[in-house]
Amino acid sequence: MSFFDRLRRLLGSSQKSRSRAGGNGKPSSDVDPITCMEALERVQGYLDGELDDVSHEEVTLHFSMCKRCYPHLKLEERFKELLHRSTEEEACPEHVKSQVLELLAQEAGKGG
Amino acid sequence: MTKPEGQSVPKADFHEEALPHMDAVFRFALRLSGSQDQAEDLVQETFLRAFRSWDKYTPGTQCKSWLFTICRNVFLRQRERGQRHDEIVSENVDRSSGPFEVVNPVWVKAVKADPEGEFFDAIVDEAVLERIQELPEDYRTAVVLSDLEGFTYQEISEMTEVPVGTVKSRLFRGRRLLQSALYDYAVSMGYIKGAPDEA
Repeated sequence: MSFFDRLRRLLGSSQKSRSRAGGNGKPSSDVDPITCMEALERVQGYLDGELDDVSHEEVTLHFSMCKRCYPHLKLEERFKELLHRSTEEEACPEHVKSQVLELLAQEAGKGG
Repeated sequence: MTKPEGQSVPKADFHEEALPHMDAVFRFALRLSGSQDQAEDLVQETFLRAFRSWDKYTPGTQCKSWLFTICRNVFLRQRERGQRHDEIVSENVDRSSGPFEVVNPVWVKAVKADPEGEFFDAIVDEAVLERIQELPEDYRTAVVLSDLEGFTYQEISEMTEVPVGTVKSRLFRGRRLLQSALYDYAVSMGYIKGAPDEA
């Protein structure tokens, strides 16, 4: 039995009891527990905001409880931040903007 | 003023609606082509074509994604002219046939040395952009449109004319390649301690 299978069994029981007991408002106590594999499979869609509400809650619940998986979420998040940060300062050079405006003016002159 | 959908937009509105996206189109062109000169040409060509076909633009739809679609089409056409067909096919062949590992092997290594991912802070922008540039074109496009420009899977699917499932697959695999390349870079620069088997 793999590590994740063992963890899945353990988490399955602990998450059910937490779920029944009700959460502290976040995430909802109605969501079903999911396995580590299921959470990790959905991690990109989760961070991309592409999961439906129920699936999002399930993943939130899992990562809030699973110390083993949480760093994977953190690293994935840091990676996305890095990509976004890398192009923040880039802008189209002014001379290109001027050239575009000139081209458009010529084109407008042609077409009338 | 918002116009009802399905109605064509007067040319005068082009400047107001399309030109504000020039920085974003330039960034996209730069990522696609990897060349400042080619990116500048792509921007000019994109806006010229967009202006000429402005009557085909549907008001109320996303102007930015419409411009990106034109930009990518111009890029692909330019590339086709400069490259043999079999080279393009081999570059764009779907590499997604094999199974993938759910547990990210790169993160498994990184978690041991730096679970908070602080090594990311040390990676300079140029290193990131160089490694994005090394991705195959279809993966690169998906990653750039999602992670750098914030488009949804559905929007990327429409822009690149592939199913949403293919977008997800390209994103997943493109990110994995990029994560691996950035991790290797961070190890080589001493930003993170490599796993024992890499020493």
